[in-house]
Amino acid sequence: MIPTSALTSIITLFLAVLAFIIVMLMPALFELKKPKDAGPRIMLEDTLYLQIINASPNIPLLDVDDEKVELNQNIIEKMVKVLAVLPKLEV
Amino acid sequence: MLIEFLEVSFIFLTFLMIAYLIRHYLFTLTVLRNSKKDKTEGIAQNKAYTPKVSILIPARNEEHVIERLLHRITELTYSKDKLQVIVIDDASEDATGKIAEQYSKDYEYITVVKRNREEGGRGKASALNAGMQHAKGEIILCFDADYYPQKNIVEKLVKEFIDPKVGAVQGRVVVLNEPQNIVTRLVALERIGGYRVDQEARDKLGLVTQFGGTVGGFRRSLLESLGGWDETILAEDTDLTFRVYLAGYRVKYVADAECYEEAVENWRAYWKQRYRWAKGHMQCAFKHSLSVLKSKNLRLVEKIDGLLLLNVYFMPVLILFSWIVGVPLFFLKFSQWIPAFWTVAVISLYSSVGNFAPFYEVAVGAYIDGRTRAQWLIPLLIFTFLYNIPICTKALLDLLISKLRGKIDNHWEKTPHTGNGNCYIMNHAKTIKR
Repeated sequence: MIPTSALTSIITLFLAVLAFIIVMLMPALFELKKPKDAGPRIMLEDTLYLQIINASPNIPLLDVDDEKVELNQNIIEKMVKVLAVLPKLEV
Repeated sequence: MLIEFLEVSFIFLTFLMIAYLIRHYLFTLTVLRNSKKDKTEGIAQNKAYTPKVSILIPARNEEHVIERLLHRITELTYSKDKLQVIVIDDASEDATGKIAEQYSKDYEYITVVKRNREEGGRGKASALNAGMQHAKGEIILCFDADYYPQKNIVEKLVKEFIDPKVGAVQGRVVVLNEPQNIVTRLVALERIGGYRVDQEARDKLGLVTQFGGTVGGFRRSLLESLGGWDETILAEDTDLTFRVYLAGYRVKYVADAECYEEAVENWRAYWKQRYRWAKGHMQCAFKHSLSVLKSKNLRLVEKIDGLLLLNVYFMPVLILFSWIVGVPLFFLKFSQWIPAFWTVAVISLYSSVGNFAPFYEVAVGAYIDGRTRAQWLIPLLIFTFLYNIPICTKALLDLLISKLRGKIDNHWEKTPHTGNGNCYIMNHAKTIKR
């Protein structure tokens, strides 16, 4: 028979360890589930082309489906994001 | 008597861990202090120094990645008149040789050294020695087949050799296939800590900077006088690092000479690679520790750092030992000192287990690189750190057994490269489309 005080201590310790693990690992699990990191580190010469190609390999830069030439908004937005990142890159 | 022995052992091991803890904190603070200084410092200076350079590329069954590198080699900005590229086809059983031959036909500065089954397959050191016999350059650089360098990397690496005391150079390794899975992401974090902080700090502090076996090179005259790569050592890069320092030269780390690598993609491959590193590093520790202590070419701080570097792969094993010793001592309370040392041990162990880079080094490296989101994964590094314990323990046991038997077991377990990093390289994609 385990004394009540000892049992309480064990449960408290168990819960504390569990909470610590959850707090420690939760951000990592979030990042694994839905990565928001911009990695890998990019060498500048490849930045623009690479990101645009990866982002939408099959979408043409110009959308001529409606018989009028206009820039694809998604591509423009992605290019703007890339350009915004460039100054922060250490090369 | 046994209890006293255990207590002394535990306290000694804790002191060892503290030594590594202090060393890594020192590295981290050094890099943090220097991170805001001008990064272009010195780049423009030595443009006139353009010696003949030989690039060695050892390749064994690398058909998935070799074309990517060779294509990149053709894009290097270094004058092709002063460039010699030697691909060592190390008895490949796939299309590696054919791909290299094709490039050799198209570009006169690329040559292929073919090794048959009798000569080849004996490891990277053996392949590099074979390639070195054909090298004519004043400087010899090495790239692994799965690497992908910056276009101007040769200029960046070679300029350091204008200093006659520089015997070797080392560039920075960056993981290419980082987003692939959890293993590649954690390896990328290890690399950030290892290169962005560890190597850079050692260079800044004038300690023992390590040649990593690739993305770097040597003066040919020095390499020849040292007898080339030692084929009996699995960590031929660490071995050469120490031979360079013992000969009175130093290794210069060039942080802005960056090169992508394709990291191992699963835990099995991680085990094999790190097992080879650990065993090779331990071989170097046995070979060089005494020479480092006796050397007249090394300063005291270099000797201390050199010994800590040489013995770093013993630490996971010693930590395991300290846990085994420390747990009964703690609970049975033989001595009043043990709980205090346990507290220190717990804090210190995180800086000693693993592959050079403890969590705060990784965190600072990622911060300086602007990779704040990648820092979220850092707690997971504890698993790779713990994974290194059985790896290093097995490596040590195998090494001791082979020494007792008098047999040298140096089987080179090659890391397979699948070419999964190709999708991140635009030029390669263009080549394939063509």
